[in-house]
Amino acid sequence: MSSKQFKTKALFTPGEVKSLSTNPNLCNQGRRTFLKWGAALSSQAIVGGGVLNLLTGEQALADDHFDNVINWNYSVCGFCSFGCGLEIGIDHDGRAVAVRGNGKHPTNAGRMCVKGLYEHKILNNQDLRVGERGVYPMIRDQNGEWEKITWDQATTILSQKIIDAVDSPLGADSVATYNTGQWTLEEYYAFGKLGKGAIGTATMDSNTRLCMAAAVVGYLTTFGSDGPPGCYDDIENTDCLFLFGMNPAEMHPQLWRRIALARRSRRAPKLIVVDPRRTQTARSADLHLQLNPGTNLALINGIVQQIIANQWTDADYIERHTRNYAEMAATVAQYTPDTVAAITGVPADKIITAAQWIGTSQETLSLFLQGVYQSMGATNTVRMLCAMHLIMGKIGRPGSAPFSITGQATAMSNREAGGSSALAGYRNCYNPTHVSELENFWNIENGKIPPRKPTPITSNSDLQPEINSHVEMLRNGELNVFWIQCTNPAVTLPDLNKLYAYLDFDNPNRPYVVVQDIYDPVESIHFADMFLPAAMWGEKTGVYTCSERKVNIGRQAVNPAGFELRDNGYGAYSDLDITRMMADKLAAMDSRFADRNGNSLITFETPEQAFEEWKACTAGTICDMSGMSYAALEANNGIQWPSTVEDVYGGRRLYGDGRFNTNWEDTQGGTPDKPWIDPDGLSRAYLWAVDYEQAPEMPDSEYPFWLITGRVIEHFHSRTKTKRIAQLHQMVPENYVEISTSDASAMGILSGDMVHMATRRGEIMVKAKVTDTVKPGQVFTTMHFGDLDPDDIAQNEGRLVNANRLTMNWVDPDCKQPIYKHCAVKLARAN
Amino acid sequence: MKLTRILSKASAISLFVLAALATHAPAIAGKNHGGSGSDGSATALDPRFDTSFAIEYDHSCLSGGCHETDSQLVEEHAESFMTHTMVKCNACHGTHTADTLGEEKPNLTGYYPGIGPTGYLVGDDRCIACHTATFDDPKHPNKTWDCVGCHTPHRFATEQLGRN
Repeated sequence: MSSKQFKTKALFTPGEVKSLSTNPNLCNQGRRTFLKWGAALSSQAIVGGGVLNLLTGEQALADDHFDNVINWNYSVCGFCSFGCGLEIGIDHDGRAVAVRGNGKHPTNAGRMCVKGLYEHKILNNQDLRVGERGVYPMIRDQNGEWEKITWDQATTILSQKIIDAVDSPLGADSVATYNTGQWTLEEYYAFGKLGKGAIGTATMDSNTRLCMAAAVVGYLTTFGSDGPPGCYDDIENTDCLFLFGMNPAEMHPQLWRRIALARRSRRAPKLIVVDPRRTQTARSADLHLQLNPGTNLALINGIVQQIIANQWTDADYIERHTRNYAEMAATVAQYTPDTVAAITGVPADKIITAAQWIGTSQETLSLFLQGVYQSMGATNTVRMLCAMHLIMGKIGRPGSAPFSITGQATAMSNREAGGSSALAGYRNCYNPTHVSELENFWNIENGKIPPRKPTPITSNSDLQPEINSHVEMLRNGELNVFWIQCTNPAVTLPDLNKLYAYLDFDNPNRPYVVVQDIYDPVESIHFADMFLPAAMWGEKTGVYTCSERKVNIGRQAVNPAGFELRDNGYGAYSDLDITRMMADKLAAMDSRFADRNGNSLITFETPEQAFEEWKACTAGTICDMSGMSYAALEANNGIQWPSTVEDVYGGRRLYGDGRFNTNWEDTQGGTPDKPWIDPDGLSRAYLWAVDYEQAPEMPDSEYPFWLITGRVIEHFHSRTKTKRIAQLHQMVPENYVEISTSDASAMGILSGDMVHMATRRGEIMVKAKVTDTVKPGQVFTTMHFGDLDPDDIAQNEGRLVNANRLTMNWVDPDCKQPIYKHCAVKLARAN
Repeated sequence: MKLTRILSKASAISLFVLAALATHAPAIAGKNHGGSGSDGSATALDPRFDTSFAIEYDHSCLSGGCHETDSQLVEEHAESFMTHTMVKCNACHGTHTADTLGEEKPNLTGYYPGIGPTGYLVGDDRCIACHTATFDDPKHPNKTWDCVGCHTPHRFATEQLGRN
């Protein structure tokens, strides 16, 4: 037994236990027994547990020791976007049995949040709390029951469905693909090639649309291209942290740890937090701007107004590196503190103080996330955050940047590699030079890549008739194939009751629905005609781009689930392998899906080969990764882009020279007439002049409360992975609603009471948590919980609990991201 | 003599009460800093490092008549910089393995009490899972697998608050 193991040894002799059980009065026990009790009680006070185990000699141990680990495998966390380095512990049987932080990784210095600490428990069936890994491709039989098929059969069936769809009057765009922010970069690159280069569909999107589309479009239309300008080291080099619509204490705990450590340093930067809730982050702030939901743009306009009015600007930088300052300044001039206070509910003196701290600090770092992206005015708020930094010249240097944080582990990779809505290598689908360059690189016919912006995942034409989407196409019977990969729209899309109706098997216009995922069941599988079992984090090698543009490598630690079934045509495969199988099968069945030489578009067989091709694809682009290699990524614990052969480590910060990607030949998006394109070719950033608009749905007499949605530290997105982990599930096992003390009192609601919540779109019933984390007139619920899987139905006794039955399918007109964060709701104590 | 003995006993009782109060100060859930710790070291957490949210949202453990009854535990948890950075109970303890002992699993929603606790020691590997760099640091004074020998459980700081 190693020194690290606990010895399980009874503290009391059997005679003492018997004596204690018959005469519990300690005063009547012997001196030795009394002293043991004292020691026992003291130790139990320390560990916080009971005493039963000490009496019985049994001891409940955390499943957390490393004694069975024989090898630590280099990897990176697969949950959020922060990119924490970690190692996966492997035992004698080749199973993942532990995770520990990588102490040498600069991002997290070995620290892990609770999700990462238990990440190895998502891999093996025996560790899963519910469900099991999918290992068989399956299709529905005539009775709607699942039937196992081989991979060869599955790829043949799906290829034929795609060929039929392309040949139909609806054409290639009737093949919709909807993927993720959880694949590896190589997988996005491969699938972008398949979707755009072989199938030729423009109906491609991913759940990153729900996550950070506003940041992408905000950056693109200001700087000419996507890509966060800052890096994590800015946290330790700033004097003022401006956290707008984000709660890193729960969403990005290692980012929060670095903020907390920076706050404890001699530099001690000020902390301003913008959030309607009193989160852990907000409670720790020097200044909490607790604004009304949906009023972000008014607040940031008000802060910019103060910065200009007090001349905390850099006139020289504005003159040399920006355009449209006069119009922007004229627009924000009307957003005086009193005006903004009336809109936002934030006292005017707090707005003035915030602007003063931002404006007068030597360095200011703005960090922003879903509270911006999923609220009214999302893209415009990002634009104004960028504008705020530009007019102060606080960008491209240590400690200053408008820095968007991403939600998922590889959402950034999808943005770069073009696995869904973007074009590979930050190329512009409206620039014929960019498109033909990529077509030639892929050796496909010119004109194959659709020269238009892909269709986003969701919208509602009843609210916004001018916007088309996958969901609208579902509604109108315009899709033949809907291929869902590594994402769970049956939990995460807004206004779910409508989506369920469109996907219902009784709907004659429904497409052929394919779900490619890691577990069975997953909520979206309920609507699937075909299931494809995929490998996951830890089971495949690939790279992950985190929020600061750093590319990390995750090495394969274990075999994919069902590996032993492969000889029989079954078993889970990596998404890269699945894409390659489909590309090969399509090319073999129909030469229209092959390259100019009649070969499959996917010629690489390993992730490293895919990465090498990808590197060549990025050479000379904004997100150049040609200076990287798998070995270098591991040796350096990640490298930021751009990284060229000549300057491997040159990607620390963007825009240090004040030159942006706004010239036509550089920009990532838009036609030449777009306002951010610099007509003089001087690479200047564009300053938007934008006005606040009221949210499309406000509380009224019928629906009197604001409903705010959000997240908890224990769960990740739709809980596909985290609900399998007992240590996470049991801390937050069900959805709940936060209600302020005064509102709860007025309605006679106590914590634990069941509350009925309803919006114009649906209703749910969850338990109340009475707290002053929310203001009166506002309630908060989490977005994690589905209510379709059998285990959830059983636990909730059939209650509907999914917050997205309530949310509104209204999308930002620019970035097409839904406004999940706020809508109007009514609630009452349920009988 | 009798009076002296009575006064002496009263003094002893007073000292005991004072010691007990110092050791088991009221639970401070909802406050943003603590007082002096049971080891007598200065432990007041900087008011900037609020822990009240983490305490409130550890409701699965710290409500319903369960671990919140251990005032020392709650006090130390509230004073910890790790709590401020949202390291909650389950990061180290997991959750109950009551099934291991053949008991009914507790309700962990925090809204009403479940079936009693089991006792849940934490191995040093749980610390090292995050603190490999500290453990490998040549300046770190102790190389034994005995983290809690120096770092008070739930507070974790040693001499200077915040070392965690």
